[in-house]
Amino acid sequence: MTNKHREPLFTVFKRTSFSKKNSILLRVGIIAFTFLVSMIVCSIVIKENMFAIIGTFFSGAVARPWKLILDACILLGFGVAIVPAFKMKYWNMGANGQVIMGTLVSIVIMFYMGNFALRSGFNNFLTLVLMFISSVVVSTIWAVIPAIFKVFFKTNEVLFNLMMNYIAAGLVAYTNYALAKGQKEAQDVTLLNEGGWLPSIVTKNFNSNYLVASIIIILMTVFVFIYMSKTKHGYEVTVVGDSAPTARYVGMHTKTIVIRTLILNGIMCGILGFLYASAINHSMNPSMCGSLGFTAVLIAWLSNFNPIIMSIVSFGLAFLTIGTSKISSVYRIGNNDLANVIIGLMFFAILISEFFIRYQVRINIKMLNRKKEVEE
Amino acid sequence: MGNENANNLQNREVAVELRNISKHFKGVYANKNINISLFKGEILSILGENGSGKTTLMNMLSGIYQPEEGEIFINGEKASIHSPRDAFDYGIGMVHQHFKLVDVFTAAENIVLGIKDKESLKDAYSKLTEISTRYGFDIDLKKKIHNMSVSEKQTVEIIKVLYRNASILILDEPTAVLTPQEADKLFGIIRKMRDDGKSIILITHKLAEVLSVSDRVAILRKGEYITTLNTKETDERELTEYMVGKKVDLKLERLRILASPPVLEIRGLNVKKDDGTNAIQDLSFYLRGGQILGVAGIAGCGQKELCEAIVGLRHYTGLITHKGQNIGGFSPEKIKEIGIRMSFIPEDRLGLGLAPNLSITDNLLLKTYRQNKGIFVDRETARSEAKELIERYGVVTPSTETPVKNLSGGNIQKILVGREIGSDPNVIITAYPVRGLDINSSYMIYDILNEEKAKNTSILFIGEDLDVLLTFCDKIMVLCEGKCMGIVHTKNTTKEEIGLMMTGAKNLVELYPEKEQGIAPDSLLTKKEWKQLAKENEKNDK
Repeated sequence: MTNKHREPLFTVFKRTSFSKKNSILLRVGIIAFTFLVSMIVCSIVIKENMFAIIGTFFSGAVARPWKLILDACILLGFGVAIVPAFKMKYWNMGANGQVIMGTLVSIVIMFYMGNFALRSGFNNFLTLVLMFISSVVVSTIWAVIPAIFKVFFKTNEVLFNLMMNYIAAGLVAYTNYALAKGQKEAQDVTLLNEGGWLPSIVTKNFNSNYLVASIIIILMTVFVFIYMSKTKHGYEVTVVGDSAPTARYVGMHTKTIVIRTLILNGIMCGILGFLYASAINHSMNPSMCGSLGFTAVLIAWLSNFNPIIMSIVSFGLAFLTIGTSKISSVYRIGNNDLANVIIGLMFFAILISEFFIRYQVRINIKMLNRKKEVEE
Repeated sequence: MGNENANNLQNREVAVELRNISKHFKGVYANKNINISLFKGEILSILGENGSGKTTLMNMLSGIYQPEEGEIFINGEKASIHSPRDAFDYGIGMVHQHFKLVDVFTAAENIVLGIKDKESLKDAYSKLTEISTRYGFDIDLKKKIHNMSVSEKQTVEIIKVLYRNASILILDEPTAVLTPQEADKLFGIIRKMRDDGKSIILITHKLAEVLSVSDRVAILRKGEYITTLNTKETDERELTEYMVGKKVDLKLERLRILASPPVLEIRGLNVKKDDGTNAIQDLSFYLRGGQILGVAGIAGCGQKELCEAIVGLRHYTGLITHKGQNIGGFSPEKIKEIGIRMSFIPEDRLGLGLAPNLSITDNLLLKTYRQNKGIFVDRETARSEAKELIERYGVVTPSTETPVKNLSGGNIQKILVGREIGSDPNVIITAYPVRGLDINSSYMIYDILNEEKAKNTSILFIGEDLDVLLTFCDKIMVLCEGKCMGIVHTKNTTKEEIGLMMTGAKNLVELYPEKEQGIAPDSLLTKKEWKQLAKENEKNDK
């Protein structure tokens, strides 16, 4: 009988209780540990004192505080833009495409109206308003098309949105080519002047364009927080996400709610697209958002769709990104691969901490001993 | 085999012995010092109210939880059970309340799933056929799970356990999802298994079941072990007292109320199932104020579709009128808009009636959130309503902000019923409102429905327990494969007659064609008006 009943070496239990304080401690602990390990790895690879590297990391991250805040805000912006849709269990994987479509129209307007905008402050304002509206409209259309297909024809929104990303990238590449044709440097279109740029509040220490963009995104975050937690619309979104039949049962129009939410999602992506053109990049190319649309999914998910936690996570991630790329550049590693490895490790660490918060692992000491006996 | 049970006067072999088992969740004891032994070849019922720790205890025996204190002995030897697989190795198999089957697999594939010894499906078939014939299971092994009825799925679960050579079977509330006939059949099988030497634990809260099937009954109350009795030497009253902890006088009664004119009149209703087949065919009936119309029928013969059609969740053809007003084809929202206060307590509580991950407060908001002016939801009012509801119905919950899916079945149902009754309805449609509930909760629901009846509310009560339907309802409509077999006054009928009608052996509609079944003699509309409505309906459909 005893031989038959082999006990497993590890047993995983679902935790029945785990205090909030402990879970935060666990998270911070695991993240700090991973950071330390990655710094040790760095020091081995670079053959440099670990503390010097850590110093470079922190000084690099805070060297340009407004850039740091802006980077955090962009991440946050992508995150909050998709929160309502994700909360509804509508997996919008097309944030990238939706944002660059917004940038595309803004850039086109800037290209043709740049001279007009420069003539007076009012002209610039008109241009900005036009850019804003067109970006929002185009991004919204881009976001709503897959939603309409999902609602009426039951297509899969994940695949549809991924395809929409490719189409958007293609359109940006083509427009770039078409606009840049007359210019000397081929590749990307270069704007001739600063028409259609967000206004600057000039002081010595920072680029104020970044500040305006950051404030707009923070306002967007506050809006999403209130929208999701306090309004009837947000409440309906939560119900549809939790149980669509229940929503129907109490008389909610689920189709309207899905499309309405994706309009909101599109508007926010449009705002981001507008900011890319008017404040952040002043140019466009198909890969300008990198994989932010997907990183945002991870951020939103890890933060349990809570905009406040998302702010913290975004800031941490931006800090990490800038710090590690500083290491890459100071120690001449050449490209950003090391930075990416460290960021990947950190994500992995967060996922591991989530696992240990939900589950408890018990090691069966008896089995360990028995194994030893067998080996002996 | 050493027999260590000193209290065992019958000197029978002990299959399982639980000694001083304790387990707690978040500081609350789910089980406290439980001592129970199970003999070989007996049926032991474990009886207790909702939340008394029956399922937790059995989950420890089947390896899902580990006890914090105490020991488990199997066949006289101390056992350590760390996973369901360990439990299988000890010959313990549990059939859970919620089935764990792969929908797109056949019965046989599900049964052999997860067995390590590579055995061909062919060999499995011969063994499975042998098991089926030995115990009298009636099942098509090649049928896919998603085509199966609930009782067939349960059969698959039981065969799955037997196929793994279990000698100790635990059945968690097996009859909660079965019709009386199906339950009787299951009991026959259980008795055969006992006679074959297997030990069976039956988790239940139904006293009639305990008395008719089991040899002994162990009673738990609030996580504590109370006593074990021989079923032959006890009765319903004694069991209830042990279970509830005090003398209870539960009586199901039919309120006598002067019924008012018809409120809801339904004529020529046709509803389709999701797969396009007919669910309800040419059904006519009416509901009066202050009257409970019971609906009897074998599970899945159109009850769900009937409810959904009336409340506007499912497309149908035919006429539904409310106080003479045609509400054909209206959505739930539209029905509410024109001032009809219809409440629907669906069979699927967490899937349709409530949003499982939302808090109690947010679930109460579902019905009322539109009433608040402006763009914001009013959670404060809902929170105080939640508090009131929790107090009034004695809901056991840590707070008003607990997700409803974390509550026990009875408490979930109290939230749903409380919310629906709270909207002061004049029509209540309810499907299996006491399914899975314990005695106290069940009677509470019956009392609430009777209170509503006294307020002149019309109630459509889809039930499964014929005894309840016969004592509780004023009239019973019997459905068989979506067709009406007749509508009878409960005082003029018997359980046998209804049973015959349920299987279609007796059809009052065909027997007495001159007696128009389900047509109110004092209908609010004249025949002419009905015809006109039907014409309008046809036009709209086109």
